[in-house]
Formats: sequence, structure tokens, C-alpha cells
Amino acid sequence: MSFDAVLDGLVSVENHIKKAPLEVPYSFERESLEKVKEIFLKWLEIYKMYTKGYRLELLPRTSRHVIRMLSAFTSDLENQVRDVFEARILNEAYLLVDDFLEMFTKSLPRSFVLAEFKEFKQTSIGMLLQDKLENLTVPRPSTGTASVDIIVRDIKNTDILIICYDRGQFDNVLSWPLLLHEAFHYFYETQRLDRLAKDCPKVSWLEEALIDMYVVNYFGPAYALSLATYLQKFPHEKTVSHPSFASRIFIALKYLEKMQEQKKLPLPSSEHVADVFNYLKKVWDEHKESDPLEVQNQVSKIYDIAEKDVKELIFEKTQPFSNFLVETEKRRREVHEKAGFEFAENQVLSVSDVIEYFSAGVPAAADPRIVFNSFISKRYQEMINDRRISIFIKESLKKWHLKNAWLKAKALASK
Amino acid sequence: MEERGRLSIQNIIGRITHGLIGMDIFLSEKTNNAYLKDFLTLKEDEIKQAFLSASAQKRLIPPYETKLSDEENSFLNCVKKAQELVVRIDKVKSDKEIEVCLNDLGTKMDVIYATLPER
Repeated sequence: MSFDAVLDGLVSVENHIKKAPLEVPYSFERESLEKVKEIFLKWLEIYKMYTKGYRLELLPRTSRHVIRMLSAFTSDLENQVRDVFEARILNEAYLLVDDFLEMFTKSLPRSFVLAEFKEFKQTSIGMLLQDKLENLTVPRPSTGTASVDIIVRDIKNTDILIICYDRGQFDNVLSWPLLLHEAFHYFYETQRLDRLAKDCPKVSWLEEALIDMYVVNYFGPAYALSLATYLQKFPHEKTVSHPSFASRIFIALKYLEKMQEQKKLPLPSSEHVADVFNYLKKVWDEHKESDPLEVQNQVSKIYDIAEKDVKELIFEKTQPFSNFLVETEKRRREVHEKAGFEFAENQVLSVSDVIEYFSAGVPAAADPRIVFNSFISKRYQEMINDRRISIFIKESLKKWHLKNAWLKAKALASK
Repeated sequence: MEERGRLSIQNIIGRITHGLIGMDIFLSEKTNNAYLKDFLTLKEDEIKQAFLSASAQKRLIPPYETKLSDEENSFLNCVKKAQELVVRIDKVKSDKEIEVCLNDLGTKMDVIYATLPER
């Protein structure tokens, strides 16, 4: 293989990126994918500069190694492009994540794409590029580092959040709440939320524990259930960056326990929360021995110290799930009482409505938190692989998005 | 080996490749060069970190912990030896010494490529 062959390979990846399909239903999704395309093309430009630079060197003993390195870099970039443009997750997952980011990061520039990978994680193209090129100066005969620096800066300025999902879960809609954990990392970082945790025990896995707390308090038992179901498949011990699997179940259990103590949830949600609690308790009982008592105590302490801050922060943006549920019931009653000709578009759907819609096979334009938390009872836990639930959730998110788009357009027109 | 670690390893591969290029150029030009400087920025901890990748964040579950294998330890030693030589490269009397070092490091790189995991 020669440097010319490497350049040919880069051109072929370039063509692949240019031809990557953008036939997606939602405009914000298409815009993000277009931005990603541009960034990947810029990234490719950097590799071309490197290749041209190396080609000018006289390397009798080492050109083979250089060509191999460039081929590996090119093939890796091609895989990253595939992760994004060939992701099989349903487009409606974008609606869930976008709603979440809109709620929490309204004033921040945010573009994101979903990518298929071997696990749930969050990164950005800028971060990936930095990891790759950090400390690696431009080849000597190149015109200097300036041109590469400009492109790198460009990429960082229009950086895109990449939220990866586990490819094994691509068609499991009930795992989508886990995408919110990854999206929350972005919010945690941009808002420097570690400042709120200053009194918590200084453990290396604090961020992960707090993010679980934030997301469960925002999204409710549906997140706890998704997390426990996923962690049961992939249990893990405590590591530098993550609390143990049992500790994370324990965090969700504490949340559910407190939720039950409040006794303010409407039916049938109060019964459903008990079902989720029982499921998590069973999982935790089976694994709690693997967690040293000291870690359990630290987790418990973190929960007690951070709970107030977590709730306050969610209140700044929206409402914690239990308040939201109560408020939804209240608004639903009010709308019913004064139902007029605009009833359909002002309709507020509760968990019991969503369950009824599901039984009738009609998608419900309900808030995503309500939709997902309608499928947490023991009955639905047993139907976890039933495709009817996935289709219903997907179609409901679509309908809810459409309703919001209509209301926004109507509000704009009336101005 | 996880994604973040994999990228770090590619970064490490990049800097070692610069070490190889730098030695190759030195053999013909007999002057120190930017590639060798790049190679010397590589630290032992970075290599260990990339192979273990235990500190990776922003993922739902942590990467599996791994231990440095014998192969990786021998790779680390080879890089250290090459860096020691590069530090005193201006004073090395025989090209043969640089050529041996270059060949050893190149052979190790082949092994590292072979062990790079699939995505």
C-alpha cells in the first residue's frame, strides 16, 4: 500500500459521508445530521493534510508503519460515520432526548445525534478528535500547524453531542430513558453541577451517582425500571468512575421508597410505583451482599445530602416527577371541567388515560414522562418484549410532538 | 478495551509512529526533529491508562477492568528503551543501535495493531 492508496481511501470515505442518507422525519434531527456530516468532512480534511505531509518525507524504513497508522485512523473514522448514519434506533428517540434537552438546556447551543455503539455513553466529535490528535503535531513538511489548528477549532466551535445507545437495545423502546442519563451528562458539565454536591462524600463516582439521582427524580420510576433491567443484564462492581450496580439500584430504591412515603400519588401510579419498588428490591436483595457496607452508607449519605439540591434544580426547569404527576391530574380535571370546542388540543392525559388509549390501540398525545410511566406496573413488566408497547410509545411520542408543533404554530400565528 | 481507551491507544500509536519516523529521518539527516519531540511527550502513565481505561466517564456502565498483559508490559518497556535512546540520539555513535531500536519498536507496533479490538 502507498500514500496514494491512503488518499484514495480518504476520498472514498469522503464520498461515503457526502452520500450518507438524511431522509429523517424531523427537521431538527436532519439539521444535526447535516452538521455532523460537515464536521466529519472537516475531520477527514485533517487526515488528508497529515497524509500529504508524511508523503513528502523520505522514509525508507518506516513508510509501512505510517501508512498502517493512517489506514487505521481512516477506518476508525469511517466506523464513526457508520455509527451515526446507520444507527437503527427509531427516529422518535430523538423526540424524547430533544424534549429533555429543551427542558434543561434551553439557553445553550445544543445539537445532538444518536449513534449505535456497544454501550450507552456520551461523547462529542470534538472530544473524539481531541483524544485522537492531542500531542500529535502536524507532519514536518506541512505548511505548519495553522491550517490544521483552524479546522480543529472549527470542529470544536460547532461540536455536536453524540449520545450512544447499546446496539443490542436498538429496538427496545423501554430502554430509551437511559438515553436521558447520557444527555444529562451534558447538562451536568455545562452547568457545573458538581458545585451543588460540595457537602457529599468525596468519592470518585459521585457524578454518576448524582446523575442517576437527577434523572430518576425527573423521569420517575420508568427510569428506575429501565436502569435496573439493564444493569441486571450487565452488572458491574464499583470502579473509579461508577458506583457499583447494587449501589445504583439502591439509589433508585431510596427514591421509590420516599415517593411511596409521601402518599400523594394518584391511582393507579401509586400502585405501579409499589410494583417497581418490589422489582428493584428483589434485584437489590439478590446483590446487596456484593456491596461493602461502607459504600452503601456513602450512597445513602449522598442521597440525603443531595436530594434537596436535586429537586430544587429540577424545579428551576420543570417539576420533579411526583409533583408533575399530581399537577397533571389537576390540570386534566380543570380541562375536563371547562371542556369546550378546543378540548382535543388542550387535552391533558394522565397515566390512566394512556393505559386506556393503549387498550384501545390508539396512540396518546401525552407527555413522554406520562407515556413511559404508564408501562411500569407488574403487568407490563411481564410484557416487556411485547412489540405493541414499543409501537404505542413510538406513535404516542410522534403524536405528542405533532400536537406541540401545532400549538406552537398556532401561538405564533396569533401574535 | 473501550472506545475512549481505544482512541487514546490510537493517539499513542500516533506518537510512537512519529518516533519511528523521527528515527528514520535522523538516520539520513543526523539532526533532531519535531517527530522525535512528539515521541518524547509520551508518558508511561498515559500508556498504562489507555490500556486499562478505568477512568472512562460519561457512560452508563463502566468499562470492564483489565490488567496490563505481559504483551502490553513488554510493549511499555520497548517504548521506554526507545525513548531513552532518543534522549541521547545526538550522542549515539553507531547507526546500528538506532536501527535495532527502530526495528524492535516497529515489531511491537505490529503486535499492538493485531490486538486492537473491534468496535
